[in-house]
Amino acid sequence: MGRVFWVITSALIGLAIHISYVLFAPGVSFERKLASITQGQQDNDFAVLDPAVQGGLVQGASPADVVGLCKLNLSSGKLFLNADLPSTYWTLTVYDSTGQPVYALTDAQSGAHQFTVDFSHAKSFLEQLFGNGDQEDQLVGDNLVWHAEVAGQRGLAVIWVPVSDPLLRPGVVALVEKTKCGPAGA
Amino acid sequence: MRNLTFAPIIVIVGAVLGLLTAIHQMNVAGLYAAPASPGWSSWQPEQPSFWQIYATQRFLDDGALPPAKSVQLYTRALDDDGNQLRTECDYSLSGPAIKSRWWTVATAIDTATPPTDVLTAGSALVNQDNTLDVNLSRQPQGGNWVKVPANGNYLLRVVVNDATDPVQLPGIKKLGC
Repeated sequence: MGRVFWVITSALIGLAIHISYVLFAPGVSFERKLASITQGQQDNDFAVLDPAVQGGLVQGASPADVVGLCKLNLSSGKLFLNADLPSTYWTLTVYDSTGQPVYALTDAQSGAHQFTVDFSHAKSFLEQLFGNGDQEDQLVGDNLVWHAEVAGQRGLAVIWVPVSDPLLRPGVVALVEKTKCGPAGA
Repeated sequence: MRNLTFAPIIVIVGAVLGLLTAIHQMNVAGLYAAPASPGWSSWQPEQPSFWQIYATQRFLDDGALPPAKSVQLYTRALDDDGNQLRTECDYSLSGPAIKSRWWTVATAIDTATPPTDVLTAGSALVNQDNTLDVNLSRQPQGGNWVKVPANGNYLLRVVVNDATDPVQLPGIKKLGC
């Protein structure tokens, strides 16, 4: 009986460590890497990445491509991304605070190369049940912009523009850098 | 008294096994056989799978962002004969051209390091019969060439964005060492 107890105890401890490691360790490791890549970049501010680091971050990105990101911090409310992108293939992917992709948009889906995406904090189940309709809900219906909801207070919006010729990169960077990220009116 | 000395050992054994199985499972996750592309592994299973969480977490552990749903990621570390891809050898990648909005073929030491070299859909030369030939070697080659790492073994990574047809990836033949 004693042995069975200890075997079950050992298995439960193993399971707890296994789940904790899989769920939390990669996130911590990623946060560290992201912090080193985006040194000096504030939350809710869009910036184009150094080509030397973007290949390790975005799958398939070459040094000629243009990758820009905005670290979303929704603690003070809704955010807007006003994108200005070239008329070529591009992707916008939004990740939540756990690193899961929650929203993706391409040039074909957007149909426009200048557009706005508004980000808001996704309501929890209880908030949906008991909360009253707020201003954000009313805005969604009226807005001619894309809308994305992010679980948690933080997220990451990543724009990737593949560039076929490295000589074209400076022109694409100049265009993509016009993209703005932040609260309304920022 | 005996139980008191036994308890910490059991706790440590359980914790170590939990940690090792987590690391192992994250390392093997995302190695589903790619449909219609023998030898290639895809990080996405054909059907949604519980184990995909390990693959997603592995990207973060490597310091990379998991790809969105429209992005297909394939890796390969062996040639058509089942031997490890080695930097001192030359290889040829030949097969049908990839039909998608954008694709890349990259060489890298492992999944956690940035690519050594990348060939993209924008710069690749596709043959008139809609096939693709890519040379993998340390020295520059004519046609499509992807530089391989300076030494050791390496792997190939193909990223396909918004595929317009089912993806069928080329085979890899060793040309010589």
